[in-house]
Amino acid sequence: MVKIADIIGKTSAILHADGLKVYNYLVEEILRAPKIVVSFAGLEHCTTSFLNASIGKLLMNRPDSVEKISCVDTDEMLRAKIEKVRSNALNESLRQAHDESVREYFEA
Amino acid sequence: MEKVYTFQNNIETTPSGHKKLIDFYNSLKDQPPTVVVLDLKEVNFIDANQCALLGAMVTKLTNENGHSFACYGDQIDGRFNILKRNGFIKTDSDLVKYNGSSVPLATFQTEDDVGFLNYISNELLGHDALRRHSLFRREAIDHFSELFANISTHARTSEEVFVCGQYYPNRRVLNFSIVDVGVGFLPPIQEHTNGIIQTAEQAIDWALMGNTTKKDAPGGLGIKSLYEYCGENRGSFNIISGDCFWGNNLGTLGNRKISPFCGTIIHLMFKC
Repeated sequence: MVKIADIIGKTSAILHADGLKVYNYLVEEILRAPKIVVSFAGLEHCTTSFLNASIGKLLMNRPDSVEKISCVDTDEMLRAKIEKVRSNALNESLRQAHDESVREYFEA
Repeated sequence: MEKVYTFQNNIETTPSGHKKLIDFYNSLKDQPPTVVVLDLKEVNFIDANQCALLGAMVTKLTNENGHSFACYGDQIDGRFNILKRNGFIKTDSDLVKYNGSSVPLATFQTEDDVGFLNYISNELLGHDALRRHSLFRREAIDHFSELFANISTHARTSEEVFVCGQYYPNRRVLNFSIVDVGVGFLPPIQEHTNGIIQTAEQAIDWALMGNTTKKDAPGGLGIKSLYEYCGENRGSFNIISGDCFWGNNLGTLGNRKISPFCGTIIHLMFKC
């Protein structure tokens, strides 16, 4: 089990920089283990900035890892954030369509 | 050299309140070292959260121009005691420890998320009336944390972030302001979009749509979520960067042109 609070040494996961520490840990772990359980125990607050830099980045770079990772010790609010980050990271075609529509909006 | 700077009318969390503070900054930013006396005789009301911006300006003018600042004691003691209570004016008395509706002015390095969270939990949301709203507290801390993370990632500054708040118990409104003196919204977004985004107004709109300048990771959810949360909960949300004062409380136009200051200023006003 990967306990985020132990990796970042804090009781809240706020910063992008801390998310990257977790990402680096997960990238190595995923090569070794068939399944990874990521625990949010001991965290009082967690931002999407942190989640994007950790789990989001992992899923964006290695979409196959979505089957290997499970998140535990979460509440409803955190699960909603993780789901947003997961969808955002995995759905490349949606991201591209979004980027394209935004580009057209501002160029018009 | 000594100079008296007289503020006119009220300093509120509005485009006109900003204009008064930016006029103050611009009148001093190219001057040689001066002792500046802040004269508030024409002022009836100050939104105390604006001390975040005033504090950032005074610090910048002190560090970069060698200015020093003073106030008239009778004006402060008489009508603007809040400036002592929130620590904008330093005092040895216990006034700053008074845990009423005032929220202290504080500064944080952009990587000091622990200090920032302690401030938000204990000072900004420390009022008894807010402690009773556990869901609001939880959501507010989450959104303030997202803001801080955003500044930490994007402001590109080693200077401190200024924060200040004010709780108005009668109106049940919590104001909070956070000010960084970094690069602001436009430069990184203009660079990221290869020049498609050309103005501060466009850059703010672009960020509110959930976009991010990060290339190596997904992102852009924090500001968009805060925007949606304010819409759903009748909260006011202002972003001031470059020459644009954007707000969800500024009618259909949504923004005003202002004289630019550096970095980004964000105001949040929640009903709670």
